[in-house]
Amino acid sequence: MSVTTAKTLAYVFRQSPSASIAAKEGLDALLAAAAFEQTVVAIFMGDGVWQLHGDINAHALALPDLTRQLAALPLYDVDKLYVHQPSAEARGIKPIQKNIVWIDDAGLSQLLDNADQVLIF
Amino acid sequence: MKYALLVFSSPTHNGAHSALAFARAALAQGHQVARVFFYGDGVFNASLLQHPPQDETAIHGHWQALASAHGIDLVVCIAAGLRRGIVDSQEADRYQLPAHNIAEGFQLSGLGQLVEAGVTVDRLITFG
Repeated sequence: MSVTTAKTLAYVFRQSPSASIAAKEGLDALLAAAAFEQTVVAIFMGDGVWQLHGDINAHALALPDLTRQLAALPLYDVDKLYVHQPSAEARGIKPIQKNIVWIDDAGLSQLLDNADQVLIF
Repeated sequence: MKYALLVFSSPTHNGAHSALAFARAALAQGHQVARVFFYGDGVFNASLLQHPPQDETAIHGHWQALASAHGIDLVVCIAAGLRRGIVDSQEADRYQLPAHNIAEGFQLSGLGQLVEAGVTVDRLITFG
C-alpha cells in the first residue's frame, strides 16, 4: 500500500469492554492504522471510559481484557489517551493509565474537528 | 467525492440499512463508493444463509447488486468473520470447519484493507 501523507484518524471508544467485543475490535482497528503509520488519536467517552478502569474483569464474561493492549499503544507512537472528563466523573472512574489527557466537551469537539476521519466504536 | 463505508452493525440493526441507503444516495449523486468494509457484527451482512421473513430485507443481495453495478469492493474482516462464523472455503479448510457461508461478491481480508480505504478516499463513514 502506497501512502503519500499520513491522515489523522480519530478512534472514538464509547462502549465498555465488559459489554461486548466492540471495544477490542475498535482497538484492533486503531492498532492496524498505527501500524500503517497513520496519525492516530484515541478518544474515550461515554461507557468507553470503562476501558481505563483497572479492574473491569471482562474475562468473567468471556471478553478480552484490554489493559495490556492499551499499555502497548506508545510502542505504536500513540502516546496519549484522550478521556472525556464528564464521562469518567459520571461513572466514578479514576484511570490507571499515566498518559491520560483530560478533555471537556469543547476539547472533544476540537479533536474531532482536527481529524481527517472519525471512526466510532 | 470518493467514499468508503465502515459497516459495524448486523442486518437486524438500522446501521446496516442506513449504510446501504447512503451508498445508493451517494452513487445517485455521482459520487464514488470505493469500498465497504464489514467489521464487528457487520460481517453478518455477508452470510449467504440469511433468510428473513418477506416483509424484511435480505441485505446481501442488495449489496451484491450494487457492488457489481458500480465496481464496489465488499470486504469482510477476516478476524471478525472467524470470530462470528462468517467464513469462506479457504478459512473453512484451514480451521477444519464443517461449512463455509460467505455470500458471492464478498471477500474476506484484513484490517489493512480498512486502513487503505481510509487513506485513499475523501470520506470514511462509520455505520454502527
